[in-house]
Amino acid sequence: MKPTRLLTVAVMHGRDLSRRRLALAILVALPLVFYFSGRMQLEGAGTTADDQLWVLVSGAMGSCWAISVAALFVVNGSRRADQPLLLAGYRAAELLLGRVLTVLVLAALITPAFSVLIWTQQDVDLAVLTAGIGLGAVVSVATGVLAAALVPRDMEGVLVVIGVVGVQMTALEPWMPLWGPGELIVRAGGVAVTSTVPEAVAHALVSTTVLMAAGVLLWVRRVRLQRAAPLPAAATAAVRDVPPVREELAVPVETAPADGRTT
Amino acid sequence: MGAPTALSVRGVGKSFKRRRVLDDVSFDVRQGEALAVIGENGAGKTTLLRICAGVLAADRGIVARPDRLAYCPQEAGLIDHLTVDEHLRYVGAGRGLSAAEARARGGALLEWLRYPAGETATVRELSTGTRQKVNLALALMDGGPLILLDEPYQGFDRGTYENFWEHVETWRDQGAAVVVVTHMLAELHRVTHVLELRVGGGWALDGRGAAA
Repeated sequence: MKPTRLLTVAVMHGRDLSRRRLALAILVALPLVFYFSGRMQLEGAGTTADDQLWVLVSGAMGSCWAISVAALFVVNGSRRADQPLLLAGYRAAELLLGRVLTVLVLAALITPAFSVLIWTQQDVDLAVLTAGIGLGAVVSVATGVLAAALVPRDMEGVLVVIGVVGVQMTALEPWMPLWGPGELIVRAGGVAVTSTVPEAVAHALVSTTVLMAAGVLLWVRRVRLQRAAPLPAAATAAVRDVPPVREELAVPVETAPADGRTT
Repeated sequence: MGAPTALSVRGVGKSFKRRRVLDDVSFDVRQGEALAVIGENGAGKTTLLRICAGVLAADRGIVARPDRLAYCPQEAGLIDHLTVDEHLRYVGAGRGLSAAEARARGGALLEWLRYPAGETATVRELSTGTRQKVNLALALMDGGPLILLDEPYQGFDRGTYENFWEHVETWRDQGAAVVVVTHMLAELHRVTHVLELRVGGGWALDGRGAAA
Protein backbone atom coordinates (compact mmCIF):
# COMPACT_ATOMS: atom_id res chain seq x y z
CA MET A 1 0.00 0.00 0.00
CA LYS A 2 1.47 3.35 -1.06
CA PRO A 3 0.73 6.44 1.09
CA THR A 4 0.69 8.76 -1.93
CA ARG A 5 -1.97 6.68 -3.64
CA LEU A 6 -3.94 6.43 -0.41
CA LEU A 7 -3.82 10.20 -0.09
CA THR A 8 -4.86 10.67 -3.72
CA VAL A 9 -7.92 8.47 -3.14
CA ALA A 10 -8.85 10.37 0.03
CA VAL A 11 -8.42 13.79 -1.61
CA MET A 12 -10.39 12.87 -4.73
CA HIS A 13 -13.31 11.47 -2.76
CA GLY A 14 -13.19 14.45 -0.45
CA ARG A 15 -13.63 16.67 -3.47
CA ASP A 16 -16.39 14.46 -4.83
CA LEU A 17 -18.23 14.60 -1.51
CA SER A 18 -17.72 18.33 -1.03
CA ARG A 19 -19.42 19.00 -4.37
CA ARG A 20 -22.55 17.08 -3.42
CA ARG A 21 -23.75 20.21 -1.73
CA LEU A 22 -27.42 19.35 -1.42
CA ALA A 23 -26.71 15.90 -0.01
CA LEU A 24 -24.16 17.32 2.42
CA ALA A 25 -26.57 20.04 3.51
CA ILE A 26 -29.24 17.42 4.24
CA LEU A 27 -26.75 15.24 6.11
CA VAL A 28 -25.78 18.14 8.35
CA ALA A 29 -29.30 19.53 8.68
CA LEU A 30 -31.05 16.30 9.58
CA PRO A 31 -29.45 15.71 13.01
CA LEU A 32 -29.95 19.40 13.75
CA VAL A 33 -33.63 19.08 12.86
CA PHE A 34 -33.89 15.96 15.02
CA TYR A 35 -32.32 17.74 17.92
CA PHE A 36 -33.98 21.14 17.74
CA SER A 37 -37.46 19.79 17.02
CA GLY A 38 -37.07 17.75 20.21
CA ARG A 39 -35.87 20.81 22.08
CA MET A 40 -38.88 22.80 20.91
CA GLN A 41 -41.18 20.11 22.30
CA LEU A 42 -39.48 20.51 25.67
CA GLU A 43 -40.22 24.21 25.79
CA GLY A 44 -43.54 23.58 27.52
CA ALA A 45 -44.12 22.70 31.14
CA GLY A 46 -43.69 19.25 32.64
CA THR A 47 -40.53 18.11 30.91
CA THR A 48 -38.74 15.32 32.69
CA ALA A 49 -35.13 14.17 32.76
CA ASP A 50 -36.15 11.30 30.48
CA ASP A 51 -37.46 13.80 27.93
CA GLN A 52 -34.16 15.69 28.05
CA LEU A 53 -32.29 12.44 27.59
CA TRP A 54 -34.46 11.37 24.67
CA VAL A 55 -33.72 14.62 22.83
CA LEU A 56 -30.01 14.27 23.52
CA VAL A 57 -29.85 10.67 22.30
CA SER A 58 -32.02 11.24 19.23
CA GLY A 59 -29.86 14.19 18.16
CA ALA A 60 -26.66 12.20 18.66
CA MET A 61 -28.07 9.20 16.78
CA GLY A 62 -29.03 11.60 13.99
CA SER A 63 -25.39 12.60 13.66
CA CYS A 64 -24.40 8.90 13.52
CA TRP A 65 -26.93 8.38 10.74
CA ALA A 66 -25.42 11.30 8.81
CA ILE A 67 -21.89 9.88 9.06
CA SER A 68 -23.07 6.40 8.00
CA VAL A 69 -24.82 7.82 4.96
CA ALA A 70 -21.76 9.91 4.07
CA ALA A 71 -19.66 6.73 4.16
CA LEU A 72 -22.26 4.99 2.01
CA PHE A 73 -22.17 7.80 -0.57
CA VAL A 74 -18.38 7.90 -0.69
CA VAL A 75 -17.99 4.14 -1.14
CA ASN A 76 -20.96 3.61 -3.45
CA GLY A 77 -20.68 6.87 -5.40
CA SER A 78 -17.68 5.59 -7.31
CA ARG A 79 -19.01 2.08 -7.87
CA ARG A 80 -18.60 2.19 -11.65
CA ALA A 81 -15.03 3.41 -11.27
CA ASP A 82 -13.91 0.71 -8.82
CA GLN A 83 -12.78 -1.95 -11.27
CA PRO A 84 -11.24 0.50 -13.77
CA LEU A 85 -9.23 1.92 -10.87
CA LEU A 86 -8.08 -1.57 -9.90
CA LEU A 87 -7.07 -2.17 -13.52
CA ALA A 88 -5.19 1.13 -13.36
CA GLY A 89 -3.01 -0.32 -10.63
CA TYR A 90 -4.70 0.53 -7.32
CA ARG A 91 -5.03 -2.08 -4.62
CA ALA A 92 -8.51 -2.65 -3.24
CA ALA A 93 -7.27 -1.78 0.25
CA GLU A 94 -5.97 1.58 -0.98
CA LEU A 95 -9.31 2.46 -2.54
CA LEU A 96 -11.40 1.51 0.48
CA LEU A 97 -9.06 2.87 3.15
CA GLY A 98 -8.66 6.16 1.27
CA ARG A 99 -12.44 6.56 1.18
CA VAL A 100 -12.74 5.70 4.87
CA LEU A 101 -10.13 8.38 5.56
CA THR A 102 -12.28 10.92 3.71
CA VAL A 103 -15.31 10.17 5.87
CA LEU A 104 -13.28 10.15 9.08
CA VAL A 105 -12.04 13.66 8.26
CA LEU A 106 -15.64 14.76 7.68
CA ALA A 107 -16.65 13.15 10.98
CA ALA A 108 -13.77 14.90 12.76
CA LEU A 109 -15.14 18.22 11.49
CA ILE A 110 -18.83 17.61 12.23
CA THR A 111 -18.95 15.73 15.51
CA PRO A 112 -17.06 18.18 17.80
CA ALA A 113 -19.17 21.04 16.40
CA PHE A 114 -22.34 19.10 17.10
CA SER A 115 -21.19 18.24 20.62
CA VAL A 116 -20.46 21.90 21.38
CA LEU A 117 -23.84 22.91 19.99
CA ILE A 118 -25.61 20.46 22.31
CA TRP A 119 -23.48 21.64 25.22
CA THR A 120 -24.72 25.20 24.65
CA GLN A 121 -28.31 23.95 24.84
CA GLN A 122 -28.23 21.34 27.61
CA ASP A 123 -26.46 20.56 30.83
CA VAL A 124 -24.07 17.85 29.63
CA ASP A 125 -20.49 16.76 30.23
CA LEU A 126 -18.87 18.06 27.05
CA ALA A 127 -15.84 15.75 27.14
CA VAL A 128 -17.92 12.59 27.60
CA LEU A 129 -20.45 13.74 25.02
CA THR A 130 -17.72 14.49 22.46
CA ALA A 131 -16.19 11.07 23.13
CA GLY A 132 -19.60 9.39 22.75
CA ILE A 133 -20.52 11.14 19.52
CA GLY A 134 -16.98 10.73 18.16
CA LEU A 135 -16.98 7.02 18.93
CA GLY A 136 -20.44 6.82 17.39
CA ALA A 137 -19.04 8.40 14.22
CA VAL A 138 -16.31 5.73 14.02
CA VAL A 139 -18.88 2.93 14.38
CA SER A 140 -21.07 4.71 11.85
CA VAL A 141 -18.33 4.82 9.22
CA ALA A 142 -18.03 1.05 9.49
CA THR A 143 -21.83 0.72 9.29
CA GLY A 144 -21.87 2.83 6.12
CA VAL A 145 -19.08 0.79 4.53
CA LEU A 146 -20.97 -2.43 5.25
CA ALA A 147 -24.22 -0.98 3.88
CA ALA A 148 -22.38 0.08 0.70
CA ALA A 149 -20.92 -3.40 0.31
CA LEU A 150 -24.28 -5.10 0.94
CA VAL A 151 -26.54 -3.20 -1.46
CA PRO A 152 -25.89 -1.88 -4.94
CA ARG A 153 -27.46 1.56 -4.80
CA ASP A 154 -27.48 4.55 -2.48
CA MET A 155 -31.23 4.44 -1.89
CA GLU A 156 -31.22 0.88 -0.58
CA GLY A 157 -28.17 1.69 1.49
CA VAL A 158 -29.86 4.69 3.09
CA LEU A 159 -32.78 2.44 4.01
CA VAL A 160 -30.40 -0.08 5.60
CA VAL A 161 -28.77 2.67 7.67
CA ILE A 162 -32.15 4.07 8.70
CA GLY A 163 -33.08 0.56 9.81
CA VAL A 164 -29.92 0.17 11.90
CA VAL A 165 -30.32 3.56 13.60
CA GLY A 166 -34.05 2.96 14.09
CA VAL A 167 -33.55 -0.40 15.79
CA GLN A 168 -30.80 1.24 17.84
CA MET A 169 -33.51 3.32 19.54
CA THR A 170 -35.50 0.26 20.63
CA ALA A 171 -35.14 -2.38 23.35
CA LEU A 172 -32.70 -4.24 21.11
CA GLU A 173 -30.13 -1.51 21.68
CA PRO A 174 -27.63 -3.66 23.66
CA TRP A 175 -27.23 -5.90 20.63
CA MET A 176 -26.74 -3.03 18.19
CA PRO A 177 -23.40 -1.52 17.11
CA LEU A 178 -24.07 1.94 18.57
CA TRP A 179 -24.80 0.69 22.09
CA GLY A 180 -21.35 1.70 23.41
CA PRO A 181 -21.48 5.29 22.11
CA GLY A 182 -25.11 5.48 23.30
CA GLU A 183 -24.02 4.58 26.83
CA LEU A 184 -21.43 7.38 26.80
CA ILE A 185 -23.97 9.88 25.50
CA VAL A 186 -26.45 8.93 28.24
CA ARG A 187 -23.65 9.22 30.80
CA ALA A 188 -22.81 12.68 29.41
CA GLY A 189 -26.42 13.67 30.13
CA GLY A 190 -25.86 12.95 33.80
CA VAL A 191 -27.91 9.75 33.90
CA ALA A 192 -26.52 6.70 35.66
CA VAL A 193 -25.79 3.74 33.39
CA THR A 194 -24.89 0.18 34.29
CA SER A 195 -21.90 -0.07 31.97
CA THR A 196 -18.44 1.27 32.65
CA VAL A 197 -16.64 3.57 30.20
CA PRO A 198 -14.15 0.85 29.18
CA GLU A 199 -17.05 -1.54 28.50
CA ALA A 200 -18.77 1.03 26.29
CA VAL A 201 -15.54 1.81 24.41
CA ALA A 202 -14.70 -1.87 23.98
CA HIS A 203 -18.20 -2.57 22.62
CA ALA A 204 -17.80 0.22 20.09
CA LEU A 205 -14.36 -0.94 18.99
CA VAL A 206 -15.46 -4.56 18.61
CA SER A 207 -18.55 -3.45 16.67
CA THR A 208 -16.41 -1.30 14.39
CA THR A 209 -13.98 -4.13 13.78
CA VAL A 210 -16.71 -6.66 12.98
CA LEU A 211 -18.68 -4.30 10.74
CA MET A 212 -15.60 -3.07 8.91
CA ALA A 213 -14.21 -6.57 8.41
CA ALA A 214 -17.53 -7.74 6.96
CA GLY A 215 -17.75 -4.62 4.78
CA VAL A 216 -14.21 -5.02 3.47
CA LEU A 217 -14.70 -8.73 2.70
CA LEU A 218 -17.95 -8.15 0.83
CA TRP A 219 -16.64 -5.10 -1.01
CA VAL A 220 -13.41 -6.77 -2.10
CA ARG A 221 -15.40 -9.80 -3.23
CA ARG A 222 -17.58 -7.53 -5.36
CA VAL A 223 -14.84 -5.53 -7.07
CA ARG A 224 -11.95 -8.02 -7.27
CA LEU A 225 -10.39 -8.74 -10.63
CA GLN A 226 -10.23 -12.29 -11.93
CA ARG A 227 -6.84 -13.89 -12.19
CA ALA A 228 -5.79 -14.68 -15.74
CA ALA A 229 -3.95 -17.76 -16.82
CA PRO A 230 -0.40 -16.89 -17.87
CA LEU A 231 0.42 -16.54 -21.53
CA PRO A 232 3.16 -18.83 -22.84
CA ALA A 233 6.53 -17.55 -21.65
CA ALA A 234 7.76 -16.65 -25.14
CA ALA A 235 4.60 -14.74 -25.87
CA THR A 236 4.77 -12.90 -22.56
CA ALA A 237 8.31 -11.73 -23.21
CA ALA A 238 7.40 -10.50 -26.67
CA VAL A 239 4.20 -8.86 -25.50
CA ARG A 240 6.06 -6.80 -22.96
CA ASP A 241 8.35 -5.47 -25.68
CA VAL A 242 5.53 -3.65 -27.39
CA PRO A 243 5.97 0.12 -27.05
CA PRO A 244 3.33 1.77 -24.92
CA VAL A 245 0.30 2.80 -26.90
CA ARG A 246 0.09 6.15 -25.20
CA GLU A 247 3.07 7.67 -27.01
CA GLU A 248 1.68 6.96 -30.41
CA LEU A 249 -1.78 8.17 -29.54
CA ALA A 250 -0.51 11.68 -29.17
CA VAL A 251 0.46 11.63 -32.84
CA PRO A 252 -2.34 12.66 -35.22
CA VAL A 253 -3.22 9.88 -37.63
CA GLU A 254 -2.31 11.83 -40.74
CA THR A 255 1.25 12.42 -39.51
CA ALA A 256 1.80 9.12 -37.73
CA PRO A 257 4.78 7.13 -38.96
CA ALA A 258 3.62 4.36 -41.23
CA ASP A 259 5.98 1.73 -39.99
CA GLY A 260 8.40 3.36 -37.58
CA ARG A 261 7.32 1.62 -34.42
CA THR A 262 5.97 -1.67 -35.47
CA THR A 263 7.13 -4.84 -33.81
CA MET B 1 5.76 -18.51 -37.05
CA GLY B 2 3.04 -15.96 -36.28
CA ALA B 3 3.16 -13.06 -33.86
CA PRO B 4 2.90 -13.89 -30.14
CA THR B 5 -0.55 -14.35 -28.68
CA ALA B 6 -1.75 -11.42 -26.60
CA LEU B 7 -5.13 -12.88 -25.62
CA SER B 8 -6.12 -16.52 -25.49
CA VAL B 9 -9.67 -17.60 -24.68
CA ARG B 10 -10.40 -21.30 -24.30
CA GLY B 11 -13.78 -22.89 -23.66
CA VAL B 12 -15.27 -19.90 -21.91
CA GLY B 13 -18.86 -20.27 -20.80
CA LYS B 14 -21.17 -18.00 -18.87
CA SER B 15 -24.79 -18.15 -17.82
CA PHE B 16 -26.95 -15.69 -15.91
CA LYS B 17 -29.42 -17.68 -13.83
CA ARG B 18 -30.74 -20.18 -16.36
CA ARG B 19 -29.92 -18.13 -19.45
CA ARG B 20 -26.85 -19.31 -21.31
CA VAL B 21 -24.95 -16.35 -22.73
CA LEU B 22 -21.58 -17.80 -23.75
CA ASP B 23 -20.93 -21.42 -24.55
CA ASP B 24 -17.46 -22.85 -25.00
CA VAL B 25 -16.08 -19.76 -26.74
CA SER B 26 -12.46 -20.09 -27.91
CA PHE B 27 -10.22 -17.77 -29.88
CA ASP B 28 -6.78 -16.17 -29.89
CA VAL B 29 -5.77 -12.64 -30.71
CA ARG B 30 -2.14 -12.13 -31.66
CA GLN B 31 -0.10 -8.99 -31.52
CA GLY B 32 -0.84 -6.83 -34.54
CA GLU B 33 -4.33 -8.27 -34.95
CA ALA B 34 -7.71 -6.71 -34.36
CA LEU B 35 -10.79 -8.74 -33.53
CA ALA B 36 -14.29 -7.33 -33.91
CA VAL B 37 -16.93 -8.89 -31.67
CA ILE B 38 -20.36 -8.54 -33.24
CA GLY B 39 -23.83 -9.87 -32.53
CA GLU B 40 -27.31 -8.74 -31.72
CA ASN B 41 -28.33 -7.25 -28.40
CA GLY B 42 -28.09 -9.80 -25.61
CA ALA B 43 -25.67 -12.04 -27.50
CA GLY B 44 -23.00 -11.68 -24.81
CA LYS B 45 -20.53 -9.25 -26.39
CA THR B 46 -20.09 -7.09 -23.29
CA THR B 47 -20.05 -10.18 -21.07
CA LEU B 48 -17.25 -11.69 -23.14
CA LEU B 49 -15.19 -8.51 -23.04
CA ARG B 50 -15.68 -8.16 -19.29
CA ILE B 51 -14.46 -11.73 -18.84
CA CYS B 52 -11.44 -11.00 -21.06
CA ALA B 53 -10.64 -7.90 -18.97
CA GLY B 54 -10.97 -9.85 -15.74
CA VAL B 55 -13.77 -7.79 -14.25
CA LEU B 56 -16.27 -10.67 -14.50
CA ALA B 57 -15.69 -14.33 -13.68
CA ALA B 58 -16.47 -16.96 -16.29
CA ASP B 59 -18.39 -20.05 -15.20
CA ARG B 60 -15.84 -22.18 -17.02
CA GLY B 61 -12.92 -21.90 -19.40
CA ILE B 62 -9.57 -20.16 -19.34
CA VAL B 63 -8.49 -16.66 -20.29
CA ALA B 64 -4.80 -15.89 -20.72
CA ARG B 65 -3.79 -12.27 -21.10
CA PRO B 66 -0.87 -9.98 -20.22
CA ASP B 67 -0.74 -8.20 -16.87
CA ARG B 68 -1.12 -4.78 -18.43
CA LEU B 69 -4.10 -4.03 -20.58
CA ALA B 70 -6.32 -1.15 -21.59
CA TYR B 71 -10.02 -1.76 -21.02
CA CYS B 72 -12.68 0.73 -22.00
CA PRO B 73 -16.06 -0.41 -20.62
CA GLN B 74 -19.31 0.46 -22.33
CA GLU B 75 -20.52 2.23 -19.22
CA ALA B 76 -18.08 5.00 -18.38
CA GLY B 77 -16.30 4.36 -15.09
CA LEU B 78 -16.32 7.98 -14.04
CA ILE B 79 -16.97 9.73 -10.73
CA ASP B 80 -19.70 12.27 -11.33
CA HIS B 81 -18.47 15.16 -9.23
CA LEU B 82 -14.82 15.12 -10.29
CA THR B 83 -13.45 17.13 -13.19
CA VAL B 84 -11.64 15.57 -16.12
CA ASP B 85 -8.31 16.86 -14.82
CA GLU B 86 -8.98 15.19 -11.47
CA HIS B 87 -9.82 11.93 -13.23
CA LEU B 88 -6.52 12.06 -15.09
CA ARG B 89 -4.62 12.59 -11.85
CA TYR B 90 -6.61 9.92 -10.01
CA VAL B 91 -6.08 7.23 -12.64
CA GLY B 92 -2.53 8.42 -13.31
CA ALA B 93 -1.58 8.02 -9.64
CA GLY B 94 -2.70 4.39 -9.81
CA ARG B 95 -0.28 3.89 -12.67
CA GLY B 96 2.50 5.59 -10.78
CA LEU B 97 2.40 8.85 -12.77
CA SER B 98 2.94 12.27 -11.26
CA ALA B 99 0.15 14.82 -11.69
CA ALA B 100 2.14 16.53 -14.48
CA GLU B 101 2.74 13.25 -16.31
CA ALA B 102 -0.89 12.25 -16.00
CA ARG B 103 -2.04 15.60 -17.36
CA ALA B 104 0.42 15.41 -20.26
CA ARG B 105 -0.50 11.89 -21.30
CA GLY B 106 -4.20 12.27 -20.73
CA GLY B 107 -4.20 15.67 -22.37
CA ALA B 108 -2.60 14.26 -25.52
CA LEU B 109 -5.20 11.51 -25.68
CA LEU B 110 -8.03 13.96 -25.17
CA GLU B 111 -6.62 16.23 -27.85
CA TRP B 112 -6.58 13.28 -30.23
CA LEU B 113 -10.22 12.65 -29.34
CA ARG B 114 -11.05 16.30 -30.06
CA TYR B 115 -12.06 16.90 -26.49
CA PRO B 116 -13.01 20.55 -25.92
CA ALA B 117 -9.88 22.34 -24.71
CA GLY B 118 -10.10 24.20 -21.42
CA GLU B 119 -13.09 22.22 -20.14
CA THR B 120 -13.27 22.50 -16.36
CA ALA B 121 -16.75 21.10 -15.68
CA THR B 122 -17.34 18.02 -13.59
CA VAL B 123 -18.01 14.94 -15.70
CA ARG B 124 -21.69 14.83 -14.75
CA GLU B 125 -22.12 18.06 -16.68
CA LEU B 126 -20.63 16.63 -19.88
CA SER B 127 -22.53 15.22 -22.85
CA THR B 128 -22.66 11.46 -23.42
CA GLY B 129 -20.13 11.63 -26.23
CA THR B 130 -17.72 13.79 -24.25
CA ARG B 131 -17.97 11.49 -21.23
CA GLN B 132 -17.16 8.59 -23.53
CA LYS B 133 -14.09 10.40 -24.81
CA VAL B 134 -12.90 10.80 -21.22
CA ASN B 135 -13.65 7.12 -20.58
CA LEU B 136 -11.57 6.07 -23.58
CA ALA B 137 -8.70 8.41 -22.74
CA LEU B 138 -8.50 7.08 -19.18
CA ALA B 139 -8.47 3.49 -20.45
CA LEU B 140 -5.63 4.21 -22.85
CA MET B 141 -3.49 6.27 -20.50
CA ASP B 142 -0.92 3.58 -19.94
CA GLY B 143 -1.49 1.72 -23.15
CA GLY B 144 -0.51 -1.90 -22.94
CA PRO B 145 -0.16 -4.68 -25.46
CA LEU B 146 -3.83 -5.60 -25.27
CA ILE B 147 -6.63 -3.10 -25.88
CA LEU B 148 -10.22 -4.12 -25.09
CA LEU B 149 -12.88 -1.65 -26.24
CA ASP B 150 -16.62 -2.04 -25.70
CA GLU B 151 -18.35 0.20 -28.25
CA PRO B 152 -16.05 3.04 -27.25
CA TYR B 153 -17.30 5.52 -29.85
CA GLN B 154 -20.87 5.91 -28.59
CA GLY B 155 -21.89 9.53 -28.90
CA PHE B 156 -18.73 10.48 -30.82
CA ASP B 157 -19.02 13.09 -33.54
CA ARG B 158 -18.30 11.86 -37.07
CA GLY B 159 -14.71 13.12 -37.24
CA THR B 160 -13.69 11.50 -33.96
CA TYR B 161 -15.45 8.29 -34.96
CA GLU B 162 -13.48 8.02 -38.22
CA ASN B 163 -10.30 8.96 -36.40
CA PHE B 164 -10.97 6.16 -33.92
CA TRP B 165 -11.12 3.45 -36.58
CA GLU B 166 -7.97 4.79 -38.24
CA HIS B 167 -6.28 4.46 -34.87
CA VAL B 168 -7.36 0.86 -34.51
CA GLU B 169 -5.24 0.21 -37.57
CA THR B 170 -2.37 2.29 -36.14
CA TRP B 171 -2.45 0.36 -32.87
CA ARG B 172 -2.31 -2.89 -34.81
CA ASP B 173 0.65 -1.64 -36.82
CA GLN B 174 2.38 -0.80 -33.57
CA GLY B 175 2.00 -4.35 -32.34
CA ALA B 176 -0.96 -4.11 -30.01
CA ALA B 177 -3.77 -6.64 -30.07
CA VAL B 178 -7.14 -4.90 -30.26
CA VAL B 179 -10.57 -6.33 -29.45
CA VAL B 180 -13.53 -4.09 -30.30
CA VAL B 181 -17.16 -4.79 -29.55
CA THR B 182 -19.07 -3.11 -32.35
CA HIS B 183 -22.35 -2.88 -34.19
CA MET B 184 -20.71 -1.03 -37.07
CA LEU B 185 -20.51 -3.79 -39.66
CA ALA B 186 -19.31 -1.32 -42.32
CA GLU B 187 -15.98 -1.09 -40.49
CA LEU B 188 -15.21 -4.80 -40.42
CA HIS B 189 -12.69 -4.45 -43.25
CA ARG B 190 -10.45 -2.71 -40.73
CA VAL B 191 -10.06 -5.80 -38.52
CA THR B 192 -8.30 -9.10 -39.04
CA HIS B 193 -10.92 -11.36 -37.43
CA VAL B 194 -14.63 -11.22 -36.70
CA LEU B 195 -16.21 -13.11 -33.81
CA GLU B 196 -19.98 -13.28 -34.12
CA LEU B 197 -21.88 -14.13 -30.98
CA ARG B 198 -25.45 -15.38 -31.12
CA VAL B 199 -28.20 -15.19 -28.55
CA GLY B 200 -28.24 -18.49 -26.64
CA GLY B 201 -24.49 -19.06 -26.65
CA GLY B 202 -23.66 -19.89 -30.26
CA TRP B 203 -20.71 -18.26 -31.94
CA ALA B 204 -18.69 -18.20 -35.16
CA LEU B 205 -15.16 -17.01 -35.83
CA ASP B 206 -14.57 -15.53 -39.28
CA GLY B 207 -17.79 -17.08 -40.48
CA ARG B 208 -16.98 -20.56 -39.25
CA GLY B 209 -19.46 -21.74 -36.67
CA ALA B 210 -18.19 -23.52 -33.61
CA ALA B 211 -21.40 -24.08 -31.71
CA ALA B 212 -25.09 -24.17 -32.29
